[in-house]
Amino acid sequence: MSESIDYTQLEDTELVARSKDQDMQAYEELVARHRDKIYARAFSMMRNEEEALDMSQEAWVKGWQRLNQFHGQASFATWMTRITINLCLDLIRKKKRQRAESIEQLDDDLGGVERQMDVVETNPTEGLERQELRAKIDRALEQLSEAHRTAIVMHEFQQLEYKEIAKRMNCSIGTVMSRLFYARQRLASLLAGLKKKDEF
Amino acid sequence: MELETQLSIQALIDDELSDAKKREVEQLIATDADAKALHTELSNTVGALREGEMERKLPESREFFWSKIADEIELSERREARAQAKPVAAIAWWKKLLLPVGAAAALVLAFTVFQTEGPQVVRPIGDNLGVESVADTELELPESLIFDMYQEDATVIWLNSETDVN
Repeated sequence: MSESIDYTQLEDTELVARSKDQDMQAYEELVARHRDKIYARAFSMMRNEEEALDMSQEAWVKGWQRLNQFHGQASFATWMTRITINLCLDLIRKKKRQRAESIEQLDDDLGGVERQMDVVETNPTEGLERQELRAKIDRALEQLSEAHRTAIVMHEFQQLEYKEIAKRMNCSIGTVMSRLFYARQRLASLLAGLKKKDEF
Repeated sequence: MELETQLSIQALIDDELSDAKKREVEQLIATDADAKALHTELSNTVGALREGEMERKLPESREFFWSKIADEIELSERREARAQAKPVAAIAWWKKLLLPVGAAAALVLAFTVFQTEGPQVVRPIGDNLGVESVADTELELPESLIFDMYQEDATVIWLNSETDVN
């Protein structure tokens, strides 16, 4: 019966409903539709192709297993990116533990630097094309620590509130604010630096 | 500028302030040049980030990527089914074990009962004497026997001479 269905024509909500009824073809179509976005989010967090691939694959498997927990409050893509972020956070924490470092200590280590940074008064991204801007931000994100990058990704790309980020990163709201602040100042500085470098 | 003030300016941009605090920070930005500069910088950065993250293509074909996901789903479902089946399998195993053990126990019990009660043969001595029953041990005589003779209105007490009365 399912052979006659053109899955590419169905809305996400219909595909999700069919997937909940164990229709693997419907789920395959959802994967095909959103796999690049999920991979991009995993890459933003991990900054590593292999890990981003593993995380996105695992996210899709988890997505299938937890479909009954999805009730459509957010879009399916948003729900999937949240699963991806959680998996990436788990991996980051695991890696941190293996390196015998605490992700919570990063702010203490960088606290002094935060207060020393100069304010970048000119807009370093002014006049840039969208793709060019994204590429510059991507290069700047690469240079942030995992904790600061994670805070930026969750706040700016996932549009999570301070409270939600704190819950996911297992830290206080104050720490989230501090991480975001440092990350933004560092990004402003990096983007200004990148602009200068490109001008030569 | 205090870090707390800097964080408040950021919170204003992120729309995380209460109305009262919002008015207070807006007032500060309007009157303080440093606060205004920081607000501009943070707004520019946030504005740039709102353009979104770098688009990336997953570096594997649709078929290959899906086959890995489908395999993993199948594997995890099999694992789950095995995990769920485990208690049932354990019960089945116990049932299998219970049958021979139960049978053996029944045999042992029957044998024990037979060993204890088997050699004692109860025979009627004679109806004319009104004797109801007497335990006649062919292998070992009892130490004493007591029975009533209803017709004679008497009670017979029989003692084994080999019994040590002391």
